[in-house]
Amino acid sequence: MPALAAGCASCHQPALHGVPSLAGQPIDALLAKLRGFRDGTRGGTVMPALAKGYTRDELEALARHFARQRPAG
Amino acid sequence: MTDVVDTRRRRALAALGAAGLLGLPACTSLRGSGRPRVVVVGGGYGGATAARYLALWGGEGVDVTLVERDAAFVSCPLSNLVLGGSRTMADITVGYEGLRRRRIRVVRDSATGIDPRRRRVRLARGDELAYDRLILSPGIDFFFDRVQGLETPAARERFADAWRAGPQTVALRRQLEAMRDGGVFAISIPRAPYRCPPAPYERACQVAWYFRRAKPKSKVLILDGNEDVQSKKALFTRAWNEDYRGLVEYLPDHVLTGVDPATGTARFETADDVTADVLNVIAPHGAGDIARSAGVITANDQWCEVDFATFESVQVPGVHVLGDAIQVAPLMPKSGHMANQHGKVAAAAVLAALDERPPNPSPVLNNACYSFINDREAVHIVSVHRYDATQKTFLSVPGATGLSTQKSALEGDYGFAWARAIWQDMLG
Repeated sequence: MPALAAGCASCHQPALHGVPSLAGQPIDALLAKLRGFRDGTRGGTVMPALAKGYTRDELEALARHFARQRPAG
Repeated sequence: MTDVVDTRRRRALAALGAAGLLGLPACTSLRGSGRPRVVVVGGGYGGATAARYLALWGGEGVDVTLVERDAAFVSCPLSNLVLGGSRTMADITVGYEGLRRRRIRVVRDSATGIDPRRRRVRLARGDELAYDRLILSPGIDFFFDRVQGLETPAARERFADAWRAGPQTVALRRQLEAMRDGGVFAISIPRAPYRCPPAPYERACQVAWYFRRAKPKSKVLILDGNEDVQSKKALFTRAWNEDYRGLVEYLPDHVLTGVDPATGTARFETADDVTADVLNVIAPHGAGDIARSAGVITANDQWCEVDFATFESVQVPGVHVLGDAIQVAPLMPKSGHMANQHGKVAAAAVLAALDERPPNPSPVLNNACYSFINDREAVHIVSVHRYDATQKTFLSVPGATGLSTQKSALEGDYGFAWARAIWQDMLG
């Protein structure tokens, strides 16, 4: 797991679903959500603020990583 | 750096020599067989995470030992709900089996001394652990001598801090249960920076929640050593004024100077004395004592300054420090989530150093902190912190700080889910 994605793993665990699991989600859907949070077009609780802390390239790299991650449990 | 490599080479050569002599394969004749050894002291949010990610990222190439004095991890986050009575100790306790399954050696013992020159950790039972790199996640210890009357163990029990979750959490809960209806619970908050800025205010909410149900004539007094509420001010103030109206009173500028165990009276620098049936004293504190032994407490005789790219001590090479014990970067809270994030950056930096690679040039940390207003509704604060190579510190990213507009059950669900997830991330 790359260092940047490890930052997300504090809340997003592949085998747990209370916080949405990102593992294996389609990359387009994931990236649309992250970009929406960042651009302010998508609502939420913590993610609208957190997504603004990452560059567009970083969000793309994160989406790519989690799309490839194998869902567990 | 050079030391580490030399040590590794020497050990690898020694292993080969010994194996040749005894006619045994190196990997079975000598434990470790020249793998670099990383010792982590402290199995809380910072240390357990560091150990797990060292194993995750370092695989077979690194020998990881975690030294932890307790049999199981007990979470400070959510421990206020145990005080309120809506959760139990079992709900906030997680064992270390998950780390053992990852071939991390979990040594249940107290580290009593560090010798950074010889690169050894001394353990209470007498033996020593050698390391190539040391990660200290020592949490906090209290300056009991700064509050007159707190010198004796009996007084500390009487004024249980419960600021390190565990037996004191249970003890404080028992005090609340034993208190008469119509009594006063008071919580004394030290001057910032202290462990977990919103936690005292959450605790006031949880105790008020309990009182309203079980002892409605009772009161909660918040005796803040600071001039104002330190975190989530509007959200907590609203809870005290609306949800717990008439039950909670907030008193700023109450810097505690002494306590009287006989009467339960608290004395302050300037404010009038306060007497409470249950007085919860969070004494001033700093980095855990073991950090002192390592010589890494460099800021104000209280906290440990680190190189933020690696979390290595600015004073002692080869020793990394995490979590509440560090002198924080601007706007970086002392929180469990933040310690967990430190742990990953430090684990990556340690592995890079052992491999003679430069560390990640641009680490990013995030923080998420939920505070429960009652048994099921919570509020959050979040932020993102990026390493700035010019200023050599983490800076809070503008626009990437968020705060709830109001409490909600949805956020309560996320708060509980956050706990399950981060415990998995540390200990799973």
